[in-house]
Amino acid sequence: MQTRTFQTTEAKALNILLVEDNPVEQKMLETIFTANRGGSRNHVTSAETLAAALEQRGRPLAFDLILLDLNLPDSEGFHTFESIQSAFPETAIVVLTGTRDENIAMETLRCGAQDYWGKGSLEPKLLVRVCRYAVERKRIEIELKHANEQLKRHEEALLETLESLKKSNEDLRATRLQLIQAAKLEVVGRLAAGIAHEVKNPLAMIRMGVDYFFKYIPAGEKTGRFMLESMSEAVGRADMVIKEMLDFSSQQALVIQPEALAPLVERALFFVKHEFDKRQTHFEMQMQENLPLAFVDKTRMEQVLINLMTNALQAQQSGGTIHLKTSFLELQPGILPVGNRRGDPFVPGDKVIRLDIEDEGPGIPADVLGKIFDPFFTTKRAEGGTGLGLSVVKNIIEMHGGFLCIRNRSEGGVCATVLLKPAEAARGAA
Amino acid sequence: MAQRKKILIVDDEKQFGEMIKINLETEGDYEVCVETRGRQALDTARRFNPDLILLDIIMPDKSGYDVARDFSLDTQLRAKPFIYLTALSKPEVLLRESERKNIAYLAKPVSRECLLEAIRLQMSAHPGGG
Ligand SMILES: Nc1ncnc2c1ncn2[C@@H]1O[C@H](COP(=O)(O)OP(=O)(O)OP(=O)(O)O)[C@@H](O)[C@H]1O
Ligand SMILES: [Mg+2]
Repeated sequence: MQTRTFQTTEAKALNILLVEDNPVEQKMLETIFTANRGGSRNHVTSAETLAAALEQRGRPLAFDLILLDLNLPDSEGFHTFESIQSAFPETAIVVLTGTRDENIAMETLRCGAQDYWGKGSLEPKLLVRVCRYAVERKRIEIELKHANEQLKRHEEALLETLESLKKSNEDLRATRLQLIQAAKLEVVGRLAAGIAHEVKNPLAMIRMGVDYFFKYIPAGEKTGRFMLESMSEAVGRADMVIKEMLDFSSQQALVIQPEALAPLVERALFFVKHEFDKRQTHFEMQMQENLPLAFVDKTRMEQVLINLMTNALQAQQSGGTIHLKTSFLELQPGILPVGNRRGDPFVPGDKVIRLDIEDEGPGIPADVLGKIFDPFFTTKRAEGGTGLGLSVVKNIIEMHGGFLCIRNRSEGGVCATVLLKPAEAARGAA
Repeated sequence: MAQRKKILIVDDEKQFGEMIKINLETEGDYEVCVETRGRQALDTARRFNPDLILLDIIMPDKSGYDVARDFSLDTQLRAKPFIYLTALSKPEVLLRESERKNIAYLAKPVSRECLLEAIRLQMSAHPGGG
């Protein structure tokens, strides 16, 4: 194997690997490329076998061109081309052929060789030009390949961005929907409340009139009594319709009255019982005896319990026990963050009904704790949480002039505490 | 026989007030006065010196809440029991004025029986009004 330096008329020197076992051919080809035409200095490296050619792979300076005889002592025909091509994927290949393997030469063209050259027609100028073109074509091919790869990477990145855009768009739409629903409800609610007020006044008058006549109608007055009964029923029905309208807009009248907590807890439990069973979670209730009646709206307080118990259950995942405790106590300073601030519903010394719901879940991380009452804040979006549970609870408790506190327990898990006014205190009738 | 108990009705709907008046007076025991102007309620009450007040909440010139607050600041009237009688779907009475012990609440439309019963209860719970 020899390496020679020579010059051609072309501007750029080529670094050539010549793979040829016939010493005569090898000599001639070398001569063609070593013919000094006053150009830049070229390099030719010769190899007589496939093995020798493959050894050139690791060379620091990459070849621009391989001139390849397919039939070598250690490799024949198309196989030679395949081996060289996979060893030098970025190098242009010009196949040297005898007249008999024209077909194989065509095959190599289809498989990526840049050109072939019939050994019979050794016309120096033409061969050099063929080689130049081959190198140029290969260079473009590789640039194209790189550009394509880059394009593909960009396309993938774009698709990814598109995907995440789509997702945030969907999220946005969902949130907007929720907001619209909430806003709608509020408008409907206000409207309903207004209408209710306007309609209830005349209804009240009809009721008073009807009741008056009921009192004084003579016993034998059958027709008159029938009329009054019908009117009375109609008033009841109209009142019902209004109630339903208010229900629908979820702004129904707050009906606060003395209620025993135990049956209320039972009813709330009824709604979440299935979830308890499903998760094999136990429920333990410790109700203080002789607990006074609480001054609450029954339905709303049930909602409070359901929401708090659901949160406890969801935090628990499965198994474990959820405790619900009630007690009647006089507030001591410092037990709970119920304070001396103006506007606090309770101050130390007040007698209150206290209800605790404790779970054994992971608790609430500090950075989340400040947000749990925000409408639509949820860490359970994937499981279908709307993040309205606690804002509803807070709202209801505030409507009752009660107190709500959610905190992490030192033993782990969360404790939700509700303080309510006992019926005596709220009403004043001892 | 004890003196007839006096009831003041403050409601901007004049006819409604009159109808209640008729219903209460025909019951026998009550002397009823109707005031349709929230602003006049305090003066009227001082003059009439009722044993119990029936009070509407939404009135055009002055809300029932404000009337009740005036009463609570008046030495003559502060201990009088009263009953909010309102068509409001969401009265905030209990929250706003839970420190006052002499308040009850009835939702319109209220039946005659209910009204009479509530008046009896409030009066016996707060005899200080008379
Ligand atoms: N007992 C608890 N343990 C741990 N985290 C809780 C607990 N209760 C509430 N949280 C946290 O507070 C967030 C808000 O609760 P909230 O009840 O308002 O909404 P939600 O439970 O996510 O959804 P929704 O109640 O509307 O189905 C929850 O997503 C959760 O991160
Ligand atoms: Mg929840």
